[in-house]
Amino acid sequence: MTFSYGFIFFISNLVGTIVGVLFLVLSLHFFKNKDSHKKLIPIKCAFYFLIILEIIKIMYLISATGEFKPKSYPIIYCSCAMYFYFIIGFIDKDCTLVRIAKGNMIFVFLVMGFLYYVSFPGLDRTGNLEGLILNTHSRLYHILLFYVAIYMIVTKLYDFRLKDCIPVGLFNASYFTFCTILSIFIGGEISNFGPESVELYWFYDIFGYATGNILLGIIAIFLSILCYLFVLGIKKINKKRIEQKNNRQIDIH
Amino acid sequence: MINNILLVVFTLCIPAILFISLFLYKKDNLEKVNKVIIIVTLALELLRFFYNASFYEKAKTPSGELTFSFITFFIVFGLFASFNKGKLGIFFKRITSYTFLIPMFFAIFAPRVYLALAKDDAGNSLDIYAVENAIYFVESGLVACFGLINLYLNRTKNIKYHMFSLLFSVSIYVAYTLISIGTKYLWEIEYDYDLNFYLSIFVSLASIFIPFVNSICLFKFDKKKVE
Repeated sequence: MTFSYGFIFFISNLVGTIVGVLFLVLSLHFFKNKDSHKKLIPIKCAFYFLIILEIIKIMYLISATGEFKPKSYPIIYCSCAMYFYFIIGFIDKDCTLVRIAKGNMIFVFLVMGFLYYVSFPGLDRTGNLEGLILNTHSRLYHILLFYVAIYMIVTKLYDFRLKDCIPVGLFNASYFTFCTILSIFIGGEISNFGPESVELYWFYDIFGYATGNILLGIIAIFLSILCYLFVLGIKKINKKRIEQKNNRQIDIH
Repeated sequence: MINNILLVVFTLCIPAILFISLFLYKKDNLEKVNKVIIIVTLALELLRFFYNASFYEKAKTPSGELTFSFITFFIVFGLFASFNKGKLGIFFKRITSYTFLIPMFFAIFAPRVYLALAKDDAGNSLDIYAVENAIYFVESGLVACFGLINLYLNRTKNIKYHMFSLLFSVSIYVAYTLISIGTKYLWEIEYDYDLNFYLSIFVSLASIFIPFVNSICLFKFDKKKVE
């Protein structure tokens, strides 16, 4: 039984969108106006859901293919979402760790989830039933990250502070360094940052493997600073507009 | 060319990130920040040394390229500058304020000595992942942070101070260059006893203990004074 790219793209996106929209609608309906503790309940549910998905994927990969490659280990970048959801949902403190988790959820996984909507299925997974199942799983996982990030923005679960840009950027830089070290020691590709990476080989060819990954880390820190400046800039402009509007209304009265 | 660009990028960006963080977190205690920077740089230098040494299976001792870089000297000066509160510490603070860009310039103008080039070139061709390069680039950035912070802490309008500091720094640089030339000469005539290698191990390992011994001695000296 073989399937085309288009069919897999359509089915996997459809499943992901249905689950994501359901999550967003139900979460906002029941928890939007509750206190900050109850607003975390959908995040906890998302955490349990991702854990179940990950376990199913690992069991399927081992039973169907007999292998469990480094690319599928639960330490790749997107798997960090599970750990972030755990931190956000179960650590009820306003500490740096929680803020790093929230910052990454909004800036990184919002964009990543959106990219999964528009990207084509992985070339090594299309054609057969295994490709359909794995692609559907992958899109369901990543599209859910997108909707959870939207939920966090709408319910204002994260108040943006410029100070947070450095820890968020440093987390990403450290993660790239960790991938570099681990890939050198155990081989394979950790989160597409391995030396034989198909996606990044052109980058490593120009800049070298270790230097390239550290350069990516530096770029991540500067991008983080820019993203926070952008968001805070928009908030400031919005605040000024509201103040001017209120002043005008007072003048009229 | 790419190595040069990366080196300059790292040397500029790492201090920029550090100073943005200091600004955002409003950290005033720059002496403490400097201590942390120099200790991290020392750890990276040891890592770079052992990483390089581990690749030379066929050679009796590792190549001269990984020993006695100016950056090793700078780290030793930096340790004295950070942990010695006396005249020696001030002296080395001045040196580090003016020599923090030398590691970058050495690597740009003498890449074969300081950097592991592409796998087909000379240098450490066994380091196919360019790990040594990455560590050197990061060290270059950290060393620039250290020097800039010292420059800020020792700011003065006294021209004589600047002139003497420059003179000391130039003489340190000349001394290092003479040692480097001497080392290369010994390698050229294939002098068997690898003094350079053993000296560099000794300097790298001893430098870990110098600041702590220094602090303990000063503490005991201060205690005696109070009594």
